[in-house]
Amino acid sequence: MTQQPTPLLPEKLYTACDPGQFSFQTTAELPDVPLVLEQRRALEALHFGVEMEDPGFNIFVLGPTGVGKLTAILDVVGQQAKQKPTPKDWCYIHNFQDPVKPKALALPAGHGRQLRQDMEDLIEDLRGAIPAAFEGEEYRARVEELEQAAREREAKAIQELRELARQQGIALLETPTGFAFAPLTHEGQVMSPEVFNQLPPEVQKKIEAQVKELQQQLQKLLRQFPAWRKETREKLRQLNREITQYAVGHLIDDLKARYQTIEAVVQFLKAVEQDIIDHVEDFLPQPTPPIPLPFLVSKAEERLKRYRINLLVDRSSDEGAPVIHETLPNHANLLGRIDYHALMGTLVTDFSMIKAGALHKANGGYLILDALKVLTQPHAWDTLKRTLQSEEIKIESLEKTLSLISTLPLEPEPIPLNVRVILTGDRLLYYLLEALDPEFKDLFKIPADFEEDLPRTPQTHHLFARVLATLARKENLLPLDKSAVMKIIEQAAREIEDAQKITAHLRTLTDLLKEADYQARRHGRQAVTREDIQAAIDARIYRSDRLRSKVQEFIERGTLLIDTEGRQVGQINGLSVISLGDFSFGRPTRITATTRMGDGKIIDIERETELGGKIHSKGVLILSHFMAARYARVQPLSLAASLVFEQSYGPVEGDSASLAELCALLSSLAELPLRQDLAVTGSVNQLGRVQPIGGVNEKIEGFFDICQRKGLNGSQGVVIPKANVQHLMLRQDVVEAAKAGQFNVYSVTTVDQALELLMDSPAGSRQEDGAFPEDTINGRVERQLQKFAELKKRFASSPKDNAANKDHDE
Amino acid sequence: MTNNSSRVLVALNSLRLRRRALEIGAHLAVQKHLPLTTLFIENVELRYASQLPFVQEIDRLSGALTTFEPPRLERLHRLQIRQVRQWLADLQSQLPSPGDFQIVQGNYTESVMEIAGEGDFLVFSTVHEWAVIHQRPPLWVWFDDSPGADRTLTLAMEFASRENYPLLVAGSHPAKSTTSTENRFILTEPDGFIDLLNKQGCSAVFCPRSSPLAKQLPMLAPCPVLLV
Repeated sequence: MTQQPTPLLPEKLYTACDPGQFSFQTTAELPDVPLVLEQRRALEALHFGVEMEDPGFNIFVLGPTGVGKLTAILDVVGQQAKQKPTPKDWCYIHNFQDPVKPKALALPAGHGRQLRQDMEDLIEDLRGAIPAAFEGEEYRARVEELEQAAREREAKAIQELRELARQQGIALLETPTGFAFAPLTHEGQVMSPEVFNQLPPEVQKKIEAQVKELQQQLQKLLRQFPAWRKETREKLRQLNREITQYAVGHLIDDLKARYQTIEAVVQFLKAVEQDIIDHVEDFLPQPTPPIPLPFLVSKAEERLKRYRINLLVDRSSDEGAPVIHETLPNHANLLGRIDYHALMGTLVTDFSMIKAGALHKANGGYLILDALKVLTQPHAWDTLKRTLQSEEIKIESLEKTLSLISTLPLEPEPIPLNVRVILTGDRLLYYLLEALDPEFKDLFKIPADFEEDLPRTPQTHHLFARVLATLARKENLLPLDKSAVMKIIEQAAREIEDAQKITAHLRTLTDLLKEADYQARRHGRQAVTREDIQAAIDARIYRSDRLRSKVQEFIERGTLLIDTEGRQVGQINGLSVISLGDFSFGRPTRITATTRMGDGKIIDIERETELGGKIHSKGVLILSHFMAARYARVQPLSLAASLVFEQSYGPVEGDSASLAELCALLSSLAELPLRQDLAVTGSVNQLGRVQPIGGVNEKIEGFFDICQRKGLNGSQGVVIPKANVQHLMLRQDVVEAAKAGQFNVYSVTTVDQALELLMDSPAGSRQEDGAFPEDTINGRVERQLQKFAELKKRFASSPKDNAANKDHDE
Repeated sequence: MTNNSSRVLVALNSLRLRRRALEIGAHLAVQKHLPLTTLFIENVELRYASQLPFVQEIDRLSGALTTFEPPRLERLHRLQIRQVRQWLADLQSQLPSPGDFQIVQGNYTESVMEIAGEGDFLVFSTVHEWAVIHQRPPLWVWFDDSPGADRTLTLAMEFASRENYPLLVAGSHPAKSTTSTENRFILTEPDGFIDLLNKQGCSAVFCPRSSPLAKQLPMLAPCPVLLV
C-alpha cells in the first residue's frame, strides 16, 4: 500500500505575509516610486530600443493589459526625449511650378510660426501696396501715353495710306465694318458709277488697278496691327512689372534679409515676388459682376492665399524630442490628411488644407500606438509599415490609395521621417504578427516583454508597498495601514493563483484600493485596514456571485445531485470552474462511469454529444491508454465503458477531471465504492502520475461551500495534485475549517494514492508473477477485466450472441 | 442768332453708330424741354463706292477682302436703322415730347448743317471713339471769341451740373463770361484741344456752331460733339 496522504497543514492552505517585513505603520510614510513593478527584462529592452539610432529597432511592448506598460513607456521615453534636440518645424508652401505638388519646408524649431506671421504681415501689406501703386496719376498717365502712342501709330499709318491714295486720285473710305477705296473726281468727291462709266476704258482699267494695289497695301497694313497691339500690350505688361517691382520689392527684400540663412525660404520669397509680378493684373481693381456672388473670392485674394504658410508641425513650445501617443491610429490620423471644402458644387483643396498626422508630430521623437487598434483600422497597418520602410511621410488619401477616386488630388512633397515607434499589445498578437507578417520582424526588432507576476520576496513586498503608497496618493485615497498592505499582497497572490508570486496587474489592484477606500471612509477611518480590503473583496464577490448562489441552492435542495457523504460505486465528485467575466467560482459535478464487456472502447458521452472539447477528449483518451497499459498488456482490453458529467448540459473542456474520471472507472471495474465526502481534481498522464490543474482555489472552495451548506462533518475534503499545493491561497473560512479539523485538503502524486484515499483500500503493486494482489484495487480491476476477456472469448464463438451484443453496443 | 432753340438734333453717322450721342441729345432735350430729332446720315460716298464693281471692302479686324455691293450696304443700313429705332424706343419715356427720326443721304457734317435750324442744338456722334480710362470723363467746352461762346458755356455748365459731370473749358481766349470758370480753363489752340480730348478723355464736347473748330470736331473728337 502506498503511503496514504494526510491532510495538508493549514499553513499550506494560505501563505500569509510576515508582518516583520514591514517597518511602517501606514503607507503615508513611504516615498513615491514609478508605477511599474519589477520589470527588468522589459525595461532593459525599452531603454535599449529608445537609445538605438538605427531605424529598424522599433519596439513592441508585450504583456497583458494593466501591468503598467504605458506607464513604463512614458517614463523611459520621456526621460530619453528630454535629452534629445528639439526637431524641426515643418511647413507646406505653394509650389508655383506645379501647384498640385505642394513643397515641404523645414525650419529650425520655432521659426515656422515666425515665418507664418511674417507672410501674413506681408500679405496684408501687399493688399494695400499693389492697388495703391496702380491708382496713382503717374501710372494712369503712363498707360494713357502707351495707348495713345499705339492709336496714333495706327492712325498715322492709315492716314499715310489715305494720303498716298489721294495723290493717286483714290479716296480711302471707312465703311461700317472696315475700309474701301473709291475713285475721286477732280473736285475731290467720290466718283459716281455714272461718271466712272463715262471714262475711257483704259482709264477705268488704270483706276481698277490702282484700287487693287491700294487694297493690297491696306491689307498688308491691317495685318501688321495685331503685332503692333501685341507690342503695346507687352509694353503695358512691362510697365506693370516695373510698378509692381517698385511697390513690393522692398517689402520682400526685408524678409529675404531676415531669412537669409535659410535658402529654402529665400527661394520661396523669390518665387512669391516673381508670381506677384507675373500676375499683377489679378491685384488691379476688377469690374463688379452684374450679379455679385458673395461666396466668390476675388482673384487677388485667391492669389494672396498662395503666399501663406501652412505650418504643419510647430515646435515653438517643445523642449526635446516629441513623445506622441495616438489613441485612434487610423490611416488619416497616422499619415495626415488633405481636407476639401465645397464650392459651387465641387470639392476644392490646396496646400493650406493639408493636416498633420501623428507621424508628423512624432517626427524626430517617439510614437506610441496600440497594436490591436492599428491592426483593426482599415489599412492603417500597411500604411505604418510602408511609411517606416520608406523613411518618409507621403500624405495620400485612402481613397486614392484604393483607386476609389479619379479626381486630381494634391501630392504633397514627402517629408523625411525619423521616428521610433513603440507598439503595445498582448503576447498572442505579437507572436501572430511574428509568425504571419514577414515585414514585422524587420521593423520591430525589439520585444519588451512585461511579466504578469513577480516572485514573493521581501524586496518585492517592500516595492509593492511603495507602489501602493504611490497609487493611493495619485488617486487621492486614504493611506493603507500595514495589515491592508499585507492583505493586498496576499490578494495579489490569489489573483495570480500562486502563493509564491504576486500579480503585476496594477489596474485591478487600483480598483480594489478605491473600493477599500470607500469602505474605510464609510467607517470614518483615517487609513485603510485589512478589514476594509476584505470588505471590498466580499462586496465585489457578492455583486457577481448570483449564479454561484443559485448553483449552490440547487445542490442544497437536491435539484443538482451531489453527495457529500456516503460511498457509491462508479460515482465521484469532480470539480470544475465557471468563469463569468472577472469572477470565477468552483462547483462540484457528479461524474459517473459504467463498465461492461466490450471491445476496449471507453465512451466519453460528452464527446459523443459534441459537448466535450478537444482537451477534455484528450484527457479521456489518456486515461483509457493508462488503463490499457496497466491492465491489458498481455490480454485484450475487453471493456466497454462510458463516462459522463451528470446533469451537465453545456460544453465541457479541459483535462482537470481526468483523475476523477479514472477513479470512477476503476471503482466501477473493481466494484469498490468511492467516498462521496471527497471531491477530486487533477489531470492524469498515461503513467498514472497526477498533474497540476488550474483554478485549484476556486475548486476547493466550491466543494467546501456545498459541504458547509449541507453540514461539515470533519471527513469532507478535496483531493488535489501535489504540484498545486504551491498555488493554494484559500479563503479564510476554508483555512479556519481546516484548522478546526472540519475540512481537509489532500495532495496526491499518483492515481494509486488517490484510489487508496477514495476507496480506503490498498491500490496494490504488481508482484513477481506480474499480477496484482487479489485483495487490492488493481487486483480487483485486473480480475474483472480478465472475466470480461473470457466472456468475450466465449461469446465470440457464438454468432447469434455476437449479433445481439453488437446491436447492444451500437 | 436768336435764343429760341427749336430742337435738339442728333446726327448719327452710318459709318460708326454710337448710342452715346443719342443719350447726350436726349439728356439735353429733357433739360431744355425741347423735342429731339434724330438724323441717320447715310454716307453717299459709300453708296457710290458700293456701286462700282471693282471696289471691295477690307475688313478692319482681319484684313480680309469681301464684296462691297449695294444690297449689302442696304442690309447694313437697315440693321443700323433698326438699332437706332430701338434706342429711341428705350429713351422715349424720358423725353418731353415724341421725337422725330429722319434718314438722310449725304456727307455727314454738311448734311446736318443743311438741315439744322439756327436755334437747334446739334449733337454729332464720333467715329474715333477709343476706350475710356476714367469712369466719368469730363465734359469739355471749346470757348473762343466766336458768337455763341457764352451761350455754349452756359448750356454746358447747366448740363454738367444736371448730369453730374466734371467740366473743363479750353480755348484760345480766356473766358470773359461772367460765369466763373476759374480752375477749369485751359488755354490751348485747336490742335492742342483735340490732343487734350484724346489724352484726358471726354464724355462730350460743347462747341459754338459759329466756331471754326465746329467743322472739324465731329470728325476728330473721340466723343460726341454738341454744336450750340
